[in-house]
Amino acid sequence: MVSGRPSLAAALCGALVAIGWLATPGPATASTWTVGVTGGGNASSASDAAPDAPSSVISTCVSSSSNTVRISWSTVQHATAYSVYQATSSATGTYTVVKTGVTSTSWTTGSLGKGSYWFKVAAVVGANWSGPQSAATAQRVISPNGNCT
Amino acid sequence: MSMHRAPARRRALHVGSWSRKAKIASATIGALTAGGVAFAATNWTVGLATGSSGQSQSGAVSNISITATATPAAGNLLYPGGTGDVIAKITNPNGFPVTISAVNLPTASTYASGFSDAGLTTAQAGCTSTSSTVAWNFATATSGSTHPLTSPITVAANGNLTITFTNDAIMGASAPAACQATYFSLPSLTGVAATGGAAATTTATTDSWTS
Repeated sequence: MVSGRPSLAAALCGALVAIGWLATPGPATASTWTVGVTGGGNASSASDAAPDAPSSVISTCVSSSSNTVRISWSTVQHATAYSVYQATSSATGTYTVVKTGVTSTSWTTGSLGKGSYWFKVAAVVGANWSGPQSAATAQRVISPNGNCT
Repeated sequence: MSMHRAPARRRALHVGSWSRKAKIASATIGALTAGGVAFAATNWTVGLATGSSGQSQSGAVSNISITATATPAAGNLLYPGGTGDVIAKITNPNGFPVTISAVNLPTASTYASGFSDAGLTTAQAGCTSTSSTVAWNFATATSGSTHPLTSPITVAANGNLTITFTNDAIMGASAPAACQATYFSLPSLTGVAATGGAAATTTATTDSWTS
């Protein structure tokens, strides 16, 4: 019994010395190991919704004697391009796309024929995300003599 | 009776001699035992298959676990061609703090699966791990590439830490429209680089890797 105590104590002491060495900042921080990952090792993220419709969409005559119209709008967050739509029957009529891939916040039409025009704009993000069309612009009229009002 | 008993001085020498040997042997055994742990703890490298519950070679160091836990802040969501935050809960099952200094990422073409709910239980049609184009940011063509954290993360002994990795998910420009307003389970990390035995536990809630 007497002789057993020192051996146990010594063993414990030796272990503590070694553990103390382990806990010493120098050697411990010098080692790096690759730890495996359990629980699937995954994490979560989330994506945004479709881009908003552009706001403040307005159309203006380039000049009263011109048959071209300039459409402008406010920037949409994350938009990489914009598409411009045009209707010729009414503000609530059928709109068809007249320009895609506009990378600025304005676009000017080519020469327009006689008639009435309304425009809408939609934002695009990347290759496949397209937002809703904006509200229609005010009516623009190209007269028979090519003037714009 | 005295003939069967060693003299007191001799008995004392005998005990003392045995005791010294025992001390040396026991101390050596003790040191070697702990040293064995030391070897395991400081030289432990294990390669894991994606998503596996890897075990250490020695059993002295348990793998940490990383699990999805929350929805990223609304201010930093993914969009085509853009980056977004990633939130992870890191659990350290070891009885000592573990400081993570880097992560090992799967390939850049290993995409996240999309889900319609924050609990990541209902798959989002058309936004799968083959089409989402959502991956870990800065991942390369090589699986297991190492990416140092901006600041090391220390997870307490037997503790856990929820952390936001800022802008460490990326969505490809060709992501389908089906991936709008979707929750993602990022592909499994292949491992993390870590050290053990840190004295302090940090409380950082955000971190990142930037290359």
